[in-house]
Amino acid sequence: MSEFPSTTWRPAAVVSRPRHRWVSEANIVTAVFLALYVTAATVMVFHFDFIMEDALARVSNAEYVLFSRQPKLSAVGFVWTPLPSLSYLPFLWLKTLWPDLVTRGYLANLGSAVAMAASVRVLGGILVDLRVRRPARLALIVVFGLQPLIVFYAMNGMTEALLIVFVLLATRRLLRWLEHRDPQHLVAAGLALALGYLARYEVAAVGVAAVVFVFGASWWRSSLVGRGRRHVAVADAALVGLPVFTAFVLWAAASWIIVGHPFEQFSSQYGNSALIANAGGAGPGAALTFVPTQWLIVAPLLLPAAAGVLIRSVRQRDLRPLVPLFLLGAVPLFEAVAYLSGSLFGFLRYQIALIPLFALLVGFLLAPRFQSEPSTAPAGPTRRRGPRRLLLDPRVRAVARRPQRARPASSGPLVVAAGAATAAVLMLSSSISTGWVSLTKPSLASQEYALLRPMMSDLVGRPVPTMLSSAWVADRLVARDVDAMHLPVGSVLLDSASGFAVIAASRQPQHFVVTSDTDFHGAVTDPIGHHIQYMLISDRPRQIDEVGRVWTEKFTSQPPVPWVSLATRFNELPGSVHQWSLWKVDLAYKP
Amino acid sequence: MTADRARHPAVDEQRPDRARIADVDQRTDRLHIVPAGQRPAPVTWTAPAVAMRDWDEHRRTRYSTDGLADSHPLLSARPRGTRRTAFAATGAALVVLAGLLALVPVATLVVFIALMTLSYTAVLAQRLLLMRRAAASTVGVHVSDEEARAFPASELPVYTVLVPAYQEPEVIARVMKFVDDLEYPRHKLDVKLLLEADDAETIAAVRAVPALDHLSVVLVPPSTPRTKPKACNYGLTMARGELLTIYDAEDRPEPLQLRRAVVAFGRASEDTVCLQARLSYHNAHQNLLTRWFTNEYDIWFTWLLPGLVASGAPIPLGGTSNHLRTRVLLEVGGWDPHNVTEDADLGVRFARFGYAVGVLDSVTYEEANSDFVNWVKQRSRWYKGYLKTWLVHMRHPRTLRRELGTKGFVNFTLFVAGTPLLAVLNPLFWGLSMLWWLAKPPLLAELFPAPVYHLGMACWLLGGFGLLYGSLANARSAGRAELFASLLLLPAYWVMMSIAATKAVVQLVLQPSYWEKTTHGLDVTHADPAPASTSASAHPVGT
Repeated sequence: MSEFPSTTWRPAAVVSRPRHRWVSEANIVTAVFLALYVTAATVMVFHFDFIMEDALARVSNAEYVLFSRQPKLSAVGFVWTPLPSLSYLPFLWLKTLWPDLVTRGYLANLGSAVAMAASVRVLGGILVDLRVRRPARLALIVVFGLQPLIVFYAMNGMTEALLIVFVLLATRRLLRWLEHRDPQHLVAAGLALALGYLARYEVAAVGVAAVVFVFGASWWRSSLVGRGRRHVAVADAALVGLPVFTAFVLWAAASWIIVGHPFEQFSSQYGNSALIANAGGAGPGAALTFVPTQWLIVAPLLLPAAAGVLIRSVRQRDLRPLVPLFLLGAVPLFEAVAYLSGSLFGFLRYQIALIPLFALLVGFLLAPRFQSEPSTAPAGPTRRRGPRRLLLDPRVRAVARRPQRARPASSGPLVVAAGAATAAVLMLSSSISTGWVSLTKPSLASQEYALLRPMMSDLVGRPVPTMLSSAWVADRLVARDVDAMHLPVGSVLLDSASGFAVIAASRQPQHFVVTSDTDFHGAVTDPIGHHIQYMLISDRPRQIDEVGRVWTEKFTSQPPVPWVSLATRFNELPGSVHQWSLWKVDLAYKP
Repeated sequence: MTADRARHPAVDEQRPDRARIADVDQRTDRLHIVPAGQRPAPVTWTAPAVAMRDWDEHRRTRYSTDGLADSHPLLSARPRGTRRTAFAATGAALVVLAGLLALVPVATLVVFIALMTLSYTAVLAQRLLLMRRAAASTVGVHVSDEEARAFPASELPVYTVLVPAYQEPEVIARVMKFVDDLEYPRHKLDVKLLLEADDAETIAAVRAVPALDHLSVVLVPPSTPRTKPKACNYGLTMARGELLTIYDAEDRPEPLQLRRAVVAFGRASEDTVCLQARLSYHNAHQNLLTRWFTNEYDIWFTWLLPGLVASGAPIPLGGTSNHLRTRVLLEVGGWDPHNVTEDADLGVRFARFGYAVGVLDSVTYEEANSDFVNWVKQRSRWYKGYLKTWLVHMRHPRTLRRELGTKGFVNFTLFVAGTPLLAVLNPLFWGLSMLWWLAKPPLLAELFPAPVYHLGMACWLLGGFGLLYGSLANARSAGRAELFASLLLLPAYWVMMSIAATKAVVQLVLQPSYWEKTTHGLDVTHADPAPASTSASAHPVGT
């Protein structure tokens, strides 16, 4: 079949598929940090028995989906973002083999370790894209990965790691979009932000920032005029913003349909606002300097680094540094506004996004001069033909996917070493200040101080000052006792918003009537009619407990309610987060 | 182009040595254009169709109506057995279904819904995978302008261009326009305008035009089935070219397309026998419908077909601008005149014969259907043809699986049968969803066990969003950002697809071979000012 002379040029020769190599820098870095974080998590959970409340609650919520009395997807709840709990679902079956995965919430710790190791990997990938030399790049990501706050939120099962990895993924794609102009990157960034929103509500703010940035950048770089220019800028902004907007709408709609409020997190009695009000939280009168102080602790050199990068980017007309400033910067800004308006606690962890932001700014400082891709811009006003042709050209598409990275001009080993040292020193400033504050200043880093200090004390051989390891002792005792009674299904009533640890510790979660059950409210108002044998009521007034809200006063006032009697009290347990009263219902009672 | 333009008879009135179309070659019934002064350079019959050179009209007609069915009866949609058997089979299936519904109604419905939900999931997953594959690979053969022009003219093969038309008096002007635009040596072009012999109006219009060396008119004798593939087969028996392509009269192929195809064939693997050029629409902005349609076509030819190529699956070809090696086309039996999407069928047949189809990076602009009723007719013909193609090739599923491989078999089924079937089912599931939101009947909860419900929900939400978002992303990457607003209304287009699909399924049972005519020339306000497109016409040419 050689009617036509075949030319020597073949597409396959130009675009050779990248070989997948197992032993690569990215894989090694990921594996090392994953091992480190998993080890730290294991020590935290099994040696110290330190379990973060939110982490345990998320695992417990996932458990309701599969193992509660009424297993259903909506049992995952609408106060928390759904993605963490949903991601635990496939692994919950392992509970029968290894109960600690659920009873100690270890699944959440594994999840955060994986997410943080992935964050380190993505950060490294961005630095590769920025053409930062390997020594400086490795110095930067190693110090970043060992930053105290990063290590802590990698091992403790919270969702900070998911926040970082999704925002970093979006950052990476937007940087590539700036460089190669392929709208595929906008799609990828948009999807990363949508997943990020389902992991952390703050990502809504990141989405807004991304939309604003992309619209501006697209407009600024466009060579078109008039309507065409507007169309393209709107389209680009919509591509990056639509997924997160859809996630926002769908999640709100699901919440509205199933529990009656579109924004449980903010409006319900289980949400953050209510928790803060209960805790007598910050409120609008909080000190204006509080959050900026936390920023300084997390990244002391952030402002000089940002100033340096911005000056350079203005000189080189380089938009790229704005990407992390917009995306990662949106998180602490959002938290600050929420804190000042009284809907968020002033936790140090809310500033964690500044750490990858600072690392990226250092990366920009060390990166060689920005060189935009030659001639990928549509030429002239032929708006239809230009970009279309370029996108159809497989070679351009291939280049867009795998940038030809020009090696930076060679320089002596001294310069290279200096770059690596600079990266390490700059990044260490953040580690030192954060570490110091976490161990010494509970007012600025309450959660970190509470857990990191005792752990560090133990590791250096000093006595552990608090009784953190007994945080869940009351819940475990309740679970043990209830399990031992061999009750029928659905005979113990509790509000899972505060009783999650009891259910997590129980071997028979279907014994409990929980908040997500359709008959929960009926059972609260009429326990006898719903065959409730025991009612578990929190003795801590600040706990969110619907059962307690309705019955505590009636049970403890005179004359006593005739159909209940106090079975056991799980109080006076030092260090315990919860204290419980187990009330026995007299099912035979006839008024 | 100026040199070529000077040779154009319509422009160049100063060439008295050219005769009007007059000489009718009785043997082939072909209106051959013969210059008055001298004979044209002798044609060297190196073309694959040389064996058919001496065929008479009857033989050509028989080949064009039944050639495939005679040589490969199992591969043709020509009815085998009577309609009664088809009706009996359909009736029996319905009776069994009704029986099951009467005996175990809930179980039957649950199984049905579960199967359909799985199909939805599979089709959606396939679409996403195809797009991903297309994005991650470089299957489209790209030939730059320089490379296309640099190919020595002396080495270019003779290229046959078939242009079937029916009741389109203006066709000759249109054809001459695009042929004139083609950058290809005139003496190596073999353009054949295929007209129905009883289409007096069009023939009269053609007779009034001066002669051209490279353009001949072929009169296809009346015979059934009266379809575009039948006419193309007739033209095929006279093809002089080693390569061959089809355009519709109103197509605007990119001028270098033939040269690009030649270079691309040289570069492609040995077994590549067909290159499908990209089709797009020149009247995207005419109305909402053409905007939707344009975006759909862009997705089809930019993502889905390249994705199928990358997966090694059979490619349902587009109606025009598929560039073929004539020899292989003859070998596989030409087009199936009994199918209503002969293009899709041919792609599958190539795959079954072990040949590959590639995608050529070159665009032909067509006219998007701008009228609702007309669109439904056209789309229902496509869906019917797809279903028919699937039924024909599934006559022996095991053989098909062996020939296509498991992956190709699954891809073929999901793509060719899945597309119309799910379009039919969409209204049912939309209706059930509405019913659930409005009334929450307990029976419905019974029909959707939790896993099915969640899968269906995920399909509905993620699939719906994915399709909409994918369309937007495609509009942006195709350089049509201005289509964004209209694409937000895309769900209305899905409703239209369902209407067409329902019509297709009904027609598949009642009128399996009926060819829905598509009216062209509705783009008068948006077409370029050539007089060619000023009158509406109906012809059996599918686009």
